[in-house]
Amino acid sequence: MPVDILSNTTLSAAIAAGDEEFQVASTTNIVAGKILVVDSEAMKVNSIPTSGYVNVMRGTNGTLARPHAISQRVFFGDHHDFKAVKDHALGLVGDSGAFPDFMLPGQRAFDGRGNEYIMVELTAVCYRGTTVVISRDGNFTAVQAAGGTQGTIGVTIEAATSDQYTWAQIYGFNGYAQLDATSACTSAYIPVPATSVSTPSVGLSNLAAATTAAAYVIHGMFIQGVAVSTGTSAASYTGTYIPVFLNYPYTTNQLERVESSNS
Amino acid sequence: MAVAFGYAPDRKPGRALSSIHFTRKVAIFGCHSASLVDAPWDDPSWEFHGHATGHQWYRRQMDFYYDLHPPACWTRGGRKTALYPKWLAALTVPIYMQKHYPEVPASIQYPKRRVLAEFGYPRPYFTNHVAWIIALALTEGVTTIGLFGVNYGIRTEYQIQRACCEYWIGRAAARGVHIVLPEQSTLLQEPVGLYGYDSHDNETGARTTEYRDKTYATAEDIQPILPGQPGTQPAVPPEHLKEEIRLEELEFPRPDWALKPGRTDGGFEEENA
Repeated sequence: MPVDILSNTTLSAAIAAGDEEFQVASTTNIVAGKILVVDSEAMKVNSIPTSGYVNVMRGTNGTLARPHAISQRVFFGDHHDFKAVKDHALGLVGDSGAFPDFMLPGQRAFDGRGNEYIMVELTAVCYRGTTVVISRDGNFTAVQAAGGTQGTIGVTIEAATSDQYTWAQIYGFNGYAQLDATSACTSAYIPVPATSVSTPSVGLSNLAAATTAAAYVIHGMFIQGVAVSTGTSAASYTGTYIPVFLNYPYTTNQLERVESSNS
Repeated sequence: MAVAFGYAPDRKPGRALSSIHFTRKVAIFGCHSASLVDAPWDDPSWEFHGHATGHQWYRRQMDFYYDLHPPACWTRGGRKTALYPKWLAALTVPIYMQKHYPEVPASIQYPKRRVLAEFGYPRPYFTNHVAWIIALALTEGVTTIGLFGVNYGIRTEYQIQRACCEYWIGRAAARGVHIVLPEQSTLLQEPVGLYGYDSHDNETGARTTEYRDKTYATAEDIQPILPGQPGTQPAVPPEHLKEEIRLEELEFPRPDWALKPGRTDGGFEEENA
């Protein structure tokens, strides 16, 4: 990880388990022999009967042919494209033999210490320790958290750019969550989505616990120590990071009154 | 549910195992999550032998580990991460390796020469750890061998290691060793059906689905180990945080769409219900 995202399009209409010819939003770069993956079903392209339509062999590579809803994403490529995603992804958690051949955004994994991660598709440049909000549309796209957005929160564990897959941590201890400010921060502070764009943009800010204010809050993220400021800020580093414990954090688009300590 | 294969039909009771005056049950562990579920984790009558790199998938400590790779494999970073050498260094359970390494105090030399002397005929066929473990068990004496988490179902394993694993199961069975395989393991049952009798359609003569080209196992039958399943222990929050987490869940009920253990769709299904 990270690894470039797979080419993809979408289903133009729902398909049944037995449909071998169906319409997709675009057949650009789809040719006979390519592998299509919808949800966890793999298909092999027989032909492109006419632009916008594919004729396929359903349920290949040991997968099961099953119905799919309209607008579902259709990932496509050659075997080695999917293998590249898996090989990169397993750099984090090791190859237990327990992962599918076709690893797509939304895949969850544990490392040896019991921390949990989810594979996301970045839509912006992120650095190690960036707090991201993950989309709720089933596509698992991720971008720096910002106040007023709604979704699951994760912390990226490496630098990656837009249109790449990477892992975001959603459970366990993370010792390196970058903070957008150099101000003091302790476990008595409350993590909140960034309210303004720092340089670089890392998605995480904080409020003093005693603050009486209406704020967007990140639930399930707990600051576990004082902010560490080392060196100077750089293109990939704001200059400050904090240790956090993550319990499947999330944020909503509702302002909440913050007036008591969460420590 | 474990399925026991019968004794080899040509075994004469009391003869094939005449040199063994006790029952020795050796359970061999791999990392195929589906067939780890039914392992006899709490049955003290089994010896537990596992591949060291799979240790995080095991619900209990093995009695013996194996890592017969050269040091370059287990000292590098990457897939095995820097944690693996530290785990090896701290290990107190015996681990069979190519030789004893001072940096792995629990390491003991695998008796390769002895095993090859006894089992190198007709050819020294060892393409995976299971082969070495079975051969060692045979040379030491064993009455029952169970394989849990051993499947060799994904492409590279299927092509290079599966045949050797099944060969050694056969050698053990031929010696009268009782073989235990979980139903979830596909060893010795692919393709399903007897060749000739079941492999071709009686009317068209075409090969049945089972006997067509192998399609490799993917998400449909190999699933990641999910939270709560044996083998995965989620990180435990620090003591001072447990109460805080509990209170937050009470004070701020988690939205239905939020991710949590067991919910993997990111709220998509809830939004589209």
